[in-house]
Amino acid sequence: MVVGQIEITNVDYKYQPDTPFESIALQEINFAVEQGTYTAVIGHTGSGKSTLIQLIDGLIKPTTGEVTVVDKHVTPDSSGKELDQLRKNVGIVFQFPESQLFEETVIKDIAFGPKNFGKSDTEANEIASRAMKLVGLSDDFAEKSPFDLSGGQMRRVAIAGVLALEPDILILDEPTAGLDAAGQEQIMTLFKELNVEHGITIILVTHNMEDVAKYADQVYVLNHGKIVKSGGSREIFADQQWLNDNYLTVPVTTRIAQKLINKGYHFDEFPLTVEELSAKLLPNLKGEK
Amino acid sequence: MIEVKNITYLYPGNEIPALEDVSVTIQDNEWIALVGHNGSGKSTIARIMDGLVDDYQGTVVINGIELTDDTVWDIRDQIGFVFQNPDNQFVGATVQDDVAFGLENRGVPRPEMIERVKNALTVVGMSEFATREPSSLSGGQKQRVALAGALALQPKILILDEATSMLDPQGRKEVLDILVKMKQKFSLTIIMITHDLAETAMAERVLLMNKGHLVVDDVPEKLFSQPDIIKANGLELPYSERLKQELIQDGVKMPQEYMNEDRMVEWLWDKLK
Repeated sequence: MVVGQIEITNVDYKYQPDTPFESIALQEINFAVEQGTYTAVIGHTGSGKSTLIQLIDGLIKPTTGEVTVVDKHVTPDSSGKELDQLRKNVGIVFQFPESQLFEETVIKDIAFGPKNFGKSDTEANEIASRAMKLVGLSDDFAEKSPFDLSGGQMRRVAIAGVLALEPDILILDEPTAGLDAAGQEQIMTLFKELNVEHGITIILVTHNMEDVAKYADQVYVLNHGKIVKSGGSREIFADQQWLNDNYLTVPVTTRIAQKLINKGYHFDEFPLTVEELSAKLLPNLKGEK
Repeated sequence: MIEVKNITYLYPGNEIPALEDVSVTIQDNEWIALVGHNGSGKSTIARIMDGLVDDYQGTVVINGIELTDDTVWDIRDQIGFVFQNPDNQFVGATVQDDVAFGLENRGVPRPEMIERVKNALTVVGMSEFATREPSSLSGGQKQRVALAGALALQPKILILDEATSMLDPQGRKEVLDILVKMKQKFSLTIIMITHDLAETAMAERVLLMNKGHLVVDDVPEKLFSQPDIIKANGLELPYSERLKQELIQDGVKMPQEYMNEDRMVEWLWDKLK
């Protein structure tokens, strides 16, 4: 058996346990992610997605069960220090990460993290320059104020700040919210490159099913604090009835494919992207060439 | 009616104007989608309408009142503004305090205030969170509370600056359904700044901004049938248009006019069966 890079085994998480205010946020969670893969976590607001992220990042510890990230383990008895260890491998891009920018220049802002973790000024600046390259910001930006940049550029700076911590695992919480279509596409392409070319493990938390279909290898569906379904993205989206029953939307491709199936069309393999759908319809479009 | 006349605006320290000679008239009870890429000027024009920006050239007239330093509060009484990031507008210690804030400022009597806060929270489905701290809510829940704060003021005009961006698809649908009802019931004028295609398609009229200019003022279907303009402005192509482009690229002859999803399915099935 391949040992995963992230293993969450039989985890429950309760807020304010053993008090009258106890509430269960996560229940019987088994979650595994292998190194270099791209995983999507989907589910409604309040389904437990954020709590799951916090577990992986060592911001909270499980009430029962065990969380392993690379070679670090956290159990209900772990100390604060052990929780901190977990975080070394994980970078999180939170919603609207640009709201956390604060330094006078782009390079200072990106170098802040590495400096904080004990790198010298020179080392931190080198790491920051590399991170800028990774997110596609040219050197011209280094001495600019982050607050003079466009929304999409500010977000790149914020992402570079996370990458400067050199994480093996990148968790993205709705990373494209508020960006225009071109900016969304650029940012999502950037993450895919980080995944494919640099082997960074990606966990994408999103409501955008088009992105899930396009980028993710595997999908976990959360509902009321439980993992209710998991599998490859094609497998998940092929079960449209189940998704509808669980009030989850499907990518438009699969919705159109399903409408054609309902009319009597047959797909040998369920299409996930517009390119796949087009390719599968093409041979049968009579007299339209 | 909103009359924006010849607005030009330069952000301090910038050389290129954020808005250049923009004029537009919006009728009562219209539903407008205001679109364009980041930095196109769409948020700036909306902020100017609400008197949030100083030192611009041109005039803004809202329901017959010209926006000036003296009238800005009368004008804001008519406009509810919901910002993109709700964290930037929370002031209350609890959700209900927060929704009450604007009413308190306007001196609404306490019994009426309590009633309006309760109703607004019910409308957005957040009444069970009335006594919670805003900071303990999720992004989507915060956006609902921010919307409740605007609705409680019973505005004539509602401006939403990407105010649904953090909602999940079901939550977004619920909020949009609420807006449709509010628009009918109170003859609301809605101006929705959005990157979302489905939201754009819901509007009666689309205003497309680019580099500080109003470049398209038309019904959504017309805009959707012009893929070149959509791409040039950094907007997302509607899915059926993307599929159409893909098929055309592969040599399929397709009709020129915009087909929505169902129309597209019909057209495809007709050729496939």
